[in-house]
Amino acid sequence: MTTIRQGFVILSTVALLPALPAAAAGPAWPATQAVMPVASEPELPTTSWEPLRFTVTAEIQSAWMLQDDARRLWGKRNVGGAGLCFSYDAVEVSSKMTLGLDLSWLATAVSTTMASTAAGLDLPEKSSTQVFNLGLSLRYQVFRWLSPYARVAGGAGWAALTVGSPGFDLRDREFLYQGSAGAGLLLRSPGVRIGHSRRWPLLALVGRVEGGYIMGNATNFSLKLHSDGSIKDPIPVAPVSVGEIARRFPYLRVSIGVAF
Amino acid sequence: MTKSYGLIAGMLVGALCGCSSSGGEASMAGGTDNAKPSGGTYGGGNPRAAAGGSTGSLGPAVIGGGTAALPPEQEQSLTFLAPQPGKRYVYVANPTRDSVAVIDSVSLAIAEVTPGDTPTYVATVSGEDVALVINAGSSTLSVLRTTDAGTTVSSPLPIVKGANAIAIAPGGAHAVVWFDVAQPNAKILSGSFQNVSLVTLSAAGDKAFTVTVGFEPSAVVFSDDGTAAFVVTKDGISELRFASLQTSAIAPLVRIESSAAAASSPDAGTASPDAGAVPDVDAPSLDEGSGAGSSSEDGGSAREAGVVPMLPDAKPATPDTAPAIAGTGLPVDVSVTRDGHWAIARRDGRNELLLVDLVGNSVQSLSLSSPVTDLDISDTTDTAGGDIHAFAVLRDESKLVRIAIPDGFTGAAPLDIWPVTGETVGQVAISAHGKYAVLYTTAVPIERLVVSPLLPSGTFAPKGVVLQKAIRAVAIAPDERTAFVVHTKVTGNPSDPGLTVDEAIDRQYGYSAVSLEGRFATLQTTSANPDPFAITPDSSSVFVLLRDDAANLRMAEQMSLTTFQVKDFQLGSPPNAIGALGGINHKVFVNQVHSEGRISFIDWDWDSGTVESVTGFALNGRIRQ
Amino acid sequence: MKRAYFLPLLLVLPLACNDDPQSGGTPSRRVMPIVALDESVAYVDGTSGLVFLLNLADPALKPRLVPTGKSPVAAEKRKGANNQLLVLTHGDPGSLSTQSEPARLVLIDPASKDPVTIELPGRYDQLAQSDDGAFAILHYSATSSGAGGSMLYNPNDLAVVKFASNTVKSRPIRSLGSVPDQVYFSPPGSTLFGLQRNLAVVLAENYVTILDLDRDDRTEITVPLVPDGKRTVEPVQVLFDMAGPAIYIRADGSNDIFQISLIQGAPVDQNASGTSNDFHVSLSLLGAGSALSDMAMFGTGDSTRLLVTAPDSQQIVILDPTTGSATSIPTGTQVDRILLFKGPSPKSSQSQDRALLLGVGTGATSVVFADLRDIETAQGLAIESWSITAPVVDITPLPGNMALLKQGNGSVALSIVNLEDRTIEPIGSSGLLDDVTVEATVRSRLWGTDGANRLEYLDLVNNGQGRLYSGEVIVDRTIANILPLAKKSADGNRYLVLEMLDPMNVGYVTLLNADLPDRKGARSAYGFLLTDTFQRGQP
Repeated sequence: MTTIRQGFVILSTVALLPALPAAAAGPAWPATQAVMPVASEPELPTTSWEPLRFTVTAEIQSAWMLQDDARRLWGKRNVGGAGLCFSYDAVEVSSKMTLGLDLSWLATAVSTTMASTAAGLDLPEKSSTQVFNLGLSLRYQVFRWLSPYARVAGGAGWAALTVGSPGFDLRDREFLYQGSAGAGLLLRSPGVRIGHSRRWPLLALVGRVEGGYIMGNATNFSLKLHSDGSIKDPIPVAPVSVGEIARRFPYLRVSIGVAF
Repeated sequence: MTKSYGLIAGMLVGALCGCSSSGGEASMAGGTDNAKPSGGTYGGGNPRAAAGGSTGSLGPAVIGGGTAALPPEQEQSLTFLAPQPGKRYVYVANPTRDSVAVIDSVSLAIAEVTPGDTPTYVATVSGEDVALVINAGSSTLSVLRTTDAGTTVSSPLPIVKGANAIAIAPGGAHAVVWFDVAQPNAKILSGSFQNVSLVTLSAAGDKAFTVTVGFEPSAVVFSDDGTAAFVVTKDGISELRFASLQTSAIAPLVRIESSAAAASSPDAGTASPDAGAVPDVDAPSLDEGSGAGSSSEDGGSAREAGVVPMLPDAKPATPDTAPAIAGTGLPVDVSVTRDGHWAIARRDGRNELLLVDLVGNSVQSLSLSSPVTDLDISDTTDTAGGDIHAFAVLRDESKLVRIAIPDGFTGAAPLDIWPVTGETVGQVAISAHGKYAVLYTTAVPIERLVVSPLLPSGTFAPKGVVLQKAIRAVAIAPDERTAFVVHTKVTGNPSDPGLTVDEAIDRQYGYSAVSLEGRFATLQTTSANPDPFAITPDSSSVFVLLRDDAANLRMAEQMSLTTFQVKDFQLGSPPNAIGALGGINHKVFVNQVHSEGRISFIDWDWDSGTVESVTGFALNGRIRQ
Repeated sequence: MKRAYFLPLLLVLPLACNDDPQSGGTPSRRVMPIVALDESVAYVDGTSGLVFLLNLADPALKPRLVPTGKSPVAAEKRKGANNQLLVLTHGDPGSLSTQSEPARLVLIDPASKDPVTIELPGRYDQLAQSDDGAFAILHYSATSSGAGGSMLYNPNDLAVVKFASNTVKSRPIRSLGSVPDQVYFSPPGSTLFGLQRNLAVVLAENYVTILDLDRDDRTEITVPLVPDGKRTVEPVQVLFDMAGPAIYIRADGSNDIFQISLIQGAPVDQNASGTSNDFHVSLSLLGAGSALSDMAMFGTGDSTRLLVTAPDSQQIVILDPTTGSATSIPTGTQVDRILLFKGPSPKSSQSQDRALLLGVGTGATSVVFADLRDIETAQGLAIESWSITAPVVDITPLPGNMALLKQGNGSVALSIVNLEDRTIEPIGSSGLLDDVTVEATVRSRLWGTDGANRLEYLDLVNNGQGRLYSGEVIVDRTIANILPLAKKSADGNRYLVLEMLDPMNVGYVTLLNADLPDRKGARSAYGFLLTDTFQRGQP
């Protein structure tokens, strides 16, 4: 998870981007281009608002556990995660509307102790999830640098829970699947060509802020005493069901990356 | 004739002079000695023992070798009506706790009452659950009345200072409380040598006032109807007619001259401790259950309270009372007739008998042919055709003299002089209704006694009974069928080698039961002095207490007076007193030495023989249920 | 425009906030000791008030959760032929933010769906049951810290529970300066004066209280043990002789045995309200002469005697309750425990009352056998002393007039005593033996652990493989407690429950077949105290 400071630097950079000389908006994509005779290679401009189809971003997600059982599992109301997202603008529906696909991976991990309002328990607890999502977003360009979008996604992954100290810990991993729907804002900077040759790609900074709701299957952990393998043919230990934990929560996702 | 008897107990004062424990003390009520039938009822004890003997004891149990000239007879202060309980409850005083434990013989429940400051001496009204308690700390008297609902305690009545003896009249309407100098724990106090307290008992209210009597009262005798008391003093006999005494007064005194005869007597030897003492008194009759069945928690002080429960109509043939001192010439062996008209006495060491007219205030004397060693009275005026006779023993002549009262003294009736040929007799015991006379001697170790029927009147047919041991005391059961004999013990160890059987037997303690009609005697040797003892009111059994602390012997032994079989009852603590309950209870109680107080009740029915004990009088008194 | 770029910053800020949970300082779980029922075991979570009933026949070993109430303070199996768990709760006195909850006694039957709840009139913390499980008496302990939150309460208030009707009645008793400490019940099925009678004797410092449990409208009988407050005695042992009838009490601080005789008939000083009992008592002291450590009764009727041990004076005392007489017999060694038995001896084939006397924890290196018939007469001839290899620290009676001696002089040593033959047979142990559990009721088997994961057993009688047959099972983790169950479960197995070392306090047991213990058939359950924890709201 990125720290506050890193996030501020990134966002500051993004905020400063408009101070850079604005490049003329590039031609719409796909654009029909006339074939120009090449006498010599003229100098290309260094910035461009040319549409960039691929995006790679790092993202952080914050989720709010509304159900008591989920709150007890995670030990807190607000749970964060981090991951990566790879997007591809697949279809230009219109000059301003684009349909995109994205593939993201999000990991969440929390260490806490079991606690309750009634009485406490000094049991260390580690919860984690790993989810791969495939998303579909519809983006509308309001400005060259600002495009609100709506996104739906579906994903699957696993959740793991470890309770107790090493040697006497109970563990389980459960498959999970989920779907989400959300909306957000896409911010981009003009593309910057690093070199003067056309062979050099345009790179633009991209940021997204998205909020939405995730709904997934309830997790029913069945904890078992973890064996480190040192005992040959261990005595079977009956698993312990700690209860069904709902996976329905709103989220806020912020990602920063590059488009190319 | 009374319907029921109190317990006839051989309460031997000496046994009560036991060791003390650190726990509470309980006084013992009940007189110790002087149980002799006469016209009145006797309510006092004379604890004086024979010469050299301890106060009130049976006299020396152990005797040495033979004698040349016959020594004085050992007057045994035998009391069979020892500390008696009430009808159902037994009263035990605990002076240190200022309480009296009231023990229910049926339920064994114990209630504690606090009558006053240092309650010490207790006596019970015969056949009733009424007890009189002297609070020594405050010189007051409290009356305890127990019913199923509990015990009520009267307001303390002021009594003479230092009072330590109680005598209760037949019927329980009156009592006399006085200071008896002969009590072992008597403290000489000023102002109390000639005062007695006359107590009127009534459920409507008890009263007490002081009456002045002769010097140093030693005993109190009552008339059979309970209307008069006769206080035996050194000066003579003071007369208390209850009807005429409603407030403090000087009681009329009938003087019995004593000092002149004592000074001129050729037999007066070394002055004995009792020289000039108050004439001893024989109990004219025995009341039932008037003594409190209390016993000392500390092992018993010597005869307490001087109360001898009495059989109103029975005449247990108790031996003579207080020890006579040979040759003093003092009037001794004083007896009073049932109607309280006459009293008789003999002069110690003399051949003179005295007849005191208590109504006419005169004294007559009668001289016999040799010194009188014992004098007893038989008063059968409660039966049709009954009469009054005095029986005097002339040991030197081995004769028994029967004197009609009063005609024998006036010459109007001849004396019956009966020889007892071939026997040495110095004492006589007459059975309750005058049926038998038992003659014996305690002066020398003669292992015989003589039994003679006395009825029809004038009969005398003495027959000897061979015993195995010498005699220390004799008591006749109320049913006049059996005599109980306590034997002496010769010094020495019966287990010594080389002894003959007789010698070994002589070196043991023991007692015998003698069938008066068949003159059959059974000897029972014991490991300890069979003292005290008690004969049950129905005369079915006699109980003796055997105690030897060194040998850890603590036992009550029951002998059936029907079969002469013996049964032993082990006790938890050393016993020090025994008494019997009247009424429907067939139980004797045995008080024992225990710091918390212990008493056992033994069912005297031979087939039953259950023992129930209760310990911890104070504890039981605090049970809440 | 530029300011718009600050918006994402603001949105991300919440991501940086660490919504910390309630952290640190939370108290640990308070789990009460395991309670063994006939075919299951129960754990009571004192924190949550939940009972976790583990049905051992369930392959999944999923516990059944039964709520009882707030603040359970005691849990035990109901005595007698009852397969129920009793849980005593304090409840909650309540506050402005929490509702009050009464104290309860909850009966949980594994075979029944719903527990039976009895609301109690006070927040008691001590539970005593009669041997047949028909009655229970609840009271406050002497160290009760305010009766579960009450500031003012009567510490002498008792609650008598009758399980036949599942009713409770408050019966405050009078105090003579102290509070109840222990409760003893008369033997089940006793009769007194022709009537079925159940009595309870409540012990307190310096006095005892007798209650007629069948007639709760009757007043109690209070019997003091000291006449005044100058000394203190603490009653510690009670024997009932309903045929006597009498109750015998031994007390620390007294050299006497207190004999409370029960006598038919209302007391003389009946109270006016007519609530006196139909019997009353009288007290006697049976003096033994020395401080006493144990008491036993033998003989019947007139032959009834009390045998007491006086270790300080190295003697035993035979007390005759009828006469109060005491016969002291020197033993030559400090004996403070009595094991009564009836059987023959090497010198006599007659089955008679006899006793094994030993000093448990006194360091004595010999034991004494006593022939009790006519011992008052025979005295020293009736006792026989035998040397042992090490002092005894515990004794467990075994069927067949045998006993297991646990001896210790640093390490645990064991011996089997044949009371009839008067032989002492050592059982070898390698010195690793950490603790033993004796299963005396079903198989006469000795279970031992080395303090780690090795379980060994030794048959004390021939259970089919010969006497003194031994076996071993190694389990996965450290064994903390061995609990053989008495009855078979629904699956036909009789289980041996091993409580394992459980530092997390989440519940850890390993089950073996108690008759044929084998690792192959073993199963474990771990963490079952966390069952449904996220849904319950508390672990």
